[in-house]
Amino acid sequence: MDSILDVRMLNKSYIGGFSIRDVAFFMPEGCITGFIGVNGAGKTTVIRSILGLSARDSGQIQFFGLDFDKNERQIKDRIGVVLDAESFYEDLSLAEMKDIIAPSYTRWSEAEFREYLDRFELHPKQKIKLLSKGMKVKYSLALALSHKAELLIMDEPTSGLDPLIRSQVLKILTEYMEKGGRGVLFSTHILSDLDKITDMLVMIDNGKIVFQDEKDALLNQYRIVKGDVRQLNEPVRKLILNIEETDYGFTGITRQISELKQFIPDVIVEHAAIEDIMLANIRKGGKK
Amino acid sequence: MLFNLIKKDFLITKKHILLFFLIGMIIPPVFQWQLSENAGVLAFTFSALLFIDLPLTYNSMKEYKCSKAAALLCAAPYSRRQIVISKYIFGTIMYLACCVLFLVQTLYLKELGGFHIKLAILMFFVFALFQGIYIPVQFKIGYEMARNVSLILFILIWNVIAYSIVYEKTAFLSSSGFYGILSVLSIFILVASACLSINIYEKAELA
Repeated sequence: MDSILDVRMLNKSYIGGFSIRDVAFFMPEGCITGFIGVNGAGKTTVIRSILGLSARDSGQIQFFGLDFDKNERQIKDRIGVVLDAESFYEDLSLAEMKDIIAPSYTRWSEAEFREYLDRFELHPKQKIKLLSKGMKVKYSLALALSHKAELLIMDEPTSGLDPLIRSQVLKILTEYMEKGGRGVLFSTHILSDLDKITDMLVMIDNGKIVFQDEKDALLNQYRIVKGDVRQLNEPVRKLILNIEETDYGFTGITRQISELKQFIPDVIVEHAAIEDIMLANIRKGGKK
Repeated sequence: MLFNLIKKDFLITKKHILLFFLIGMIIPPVFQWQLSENAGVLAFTFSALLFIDLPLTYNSMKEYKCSKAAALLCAAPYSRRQIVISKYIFGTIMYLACCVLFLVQTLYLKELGGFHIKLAILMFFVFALFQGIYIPVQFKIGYEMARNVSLILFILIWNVIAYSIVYEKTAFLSSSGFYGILSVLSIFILVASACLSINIYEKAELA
């Protein structure tokens, strides 16, 4: 599978200590990739760095096989971006803001933009400052989707939205891929959204990439395990991440279910959710 | 594409554009009424300074309040260089608008004296100095600190010019080569300032 985005050895540090270090991941073509991590993990820093909004200290970024530094304008013409819902001039109307953004894209489609506005029940003469957060996100999507973008990059687009609007946004992303979109990179800490639509997951924690894998493969690897606390001995503890113990029992998550069953044959096994997998891999969450 | 960025600067200040024009309309008659001598030069100087200062600082304030909008523009195929250059062109258009406004006023307020090229060149130098300092400062240290700089520049420039005119320290203005040098110097200041601003903004962290 070809990569539509390739990030290699990305480093960026800020005064005050926070940094992203040796970040490397790729986005296969034809996939919706979820970029996950807790607040402050570095998701937005990575996205800003790969879009050129923040100068990186080192690293290479390639979109569509092209080096970003040498082909920045051409690449940006092929990418749709959804940033924070406050990324607009609030006093302008939807049409005025569109008139600023649209001319920069060579493949802008006014007809598509109007279709999206109609679908989202937005009126071009509405002032941006009078829109709710959900409406602003939909407007961002309308702008991002109206210039035949091959890749969508979205930084926490569903944060702060109610479940109905979140599901509408996710449905639009699925439709985008069905209509020929080559990829979506979607950063979020709302993991329930990822269960529904993502194909790949990349996790970042404390500025470093923790894993990158297909979602289904991850879900197949990890299991929630429960059992008697008396069965927890040193070899067993090494096989389980994120153990929570009470006086009688324990709950944890493991990638080594076969090995664990050799020690505890009657251990209770349940499927893990993405949230469980993420928590198991976070430093503060306990044993790794 | 540059046109749309310039249009953006006008759109975000459009609420106050009418106010700026009204100020530009009112100042010359007030000066003409209050002062008999040098009313025209002083009026044009004051209104030109306001026409340079107010739109630039108001535009900066709007950009500051909507700081994340710049990130969206830069995520689109606009370059940071184009965004910077659009600011200079915006300021230049406001200066030219001030010149046209004053020219029209001198046609019906004869006491203001005529509007001549030497006055325009002198004010262009003032404009270049103001914009040449303000814009890179604003990109470097942000709107809130830069507005103090604009206030200082305004007071300083106004006092120097008013003093020179009122106390007739203007003998050098009759020198023939002076306006040629001033024109070249003005363009040099603007170009150097633009290069500096581009250098600063290309390294800026966008919200």
